[in-house]
Amino acid sequence: MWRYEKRLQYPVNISQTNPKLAQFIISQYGGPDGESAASMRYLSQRYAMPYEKGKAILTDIGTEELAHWEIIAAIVHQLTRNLTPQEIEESGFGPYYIDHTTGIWPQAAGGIPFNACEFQSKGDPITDLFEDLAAEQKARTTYDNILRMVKDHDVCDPIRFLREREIVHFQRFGEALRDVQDHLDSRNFYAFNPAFDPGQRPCGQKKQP
Amino acid sequence: MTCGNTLLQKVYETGFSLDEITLYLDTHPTDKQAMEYYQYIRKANQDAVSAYEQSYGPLMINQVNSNAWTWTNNPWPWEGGM
Ligand SMILES: [Fe+2]
Repeated sequence: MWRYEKRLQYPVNISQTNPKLAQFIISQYGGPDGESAASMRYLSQRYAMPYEKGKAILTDIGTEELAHWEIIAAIVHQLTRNLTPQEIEESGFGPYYIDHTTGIWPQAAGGIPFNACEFQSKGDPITDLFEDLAAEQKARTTYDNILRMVKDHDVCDPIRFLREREIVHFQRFGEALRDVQDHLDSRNFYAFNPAFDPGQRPCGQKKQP
Repeated sequence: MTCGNTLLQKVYETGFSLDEITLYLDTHPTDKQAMEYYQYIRKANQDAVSAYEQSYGPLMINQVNSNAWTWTNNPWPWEGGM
């Protein structure tokens, strides 16, 4: 169960509009390594997580990603306020504007719509946590790419915050992975899926000495 | 709908009443009777939540009021029995 808190996790106050930049940054709203995929990935993976620490970290990071999704929307919204048709045309924002005006819609920077194929929920906590670690790095890289294109401090500031959170999430998922592995047979990490075959090995595998 | 745990049952009931009255107030913000009901059920929900948390641990992450981190404790809501 969720309840909304009427504030952003980190404030966004952008005075200078920049539709070109908005089109880059929207990738973190609906792109392949964006915040919507992050939240859906972690919240969906919880049901196959057998251990308390993992259940908590997937719930809490999945929740924080929703707050990041909102921050991205706020940035895009403020970057596209009060645009004139001329600004739209000159900035290259035209194709987005034709379909969505200045509404917020989950797409990648290249215009590809949000797609659940951008994340996986594999039903195996080891597999899932390795995906999560990669996802956090991919998001961090995307923020690095965005930061190279940004000169406005008002935009840099919240983007830097989001980038740092990816690093913290990577760290926490690494700890959760170690916790999962500590629950397994220490001589044989990958012999079975702890969500599906608890305490036993799949057919045909011998217990190691 | 019943959940077997009377303290949690109260949380479910008052929580849903809150969901219902808040949507109504969003579109009827000047309805005095609805506003009175909101204040009544808000209090009832707060009381139900604290009574439940005292026995079973935190419902929200900012409500852990012990020295131990009980937030991670089983059971989690999707596992049933809650
Ligand atoms: Fe993240």
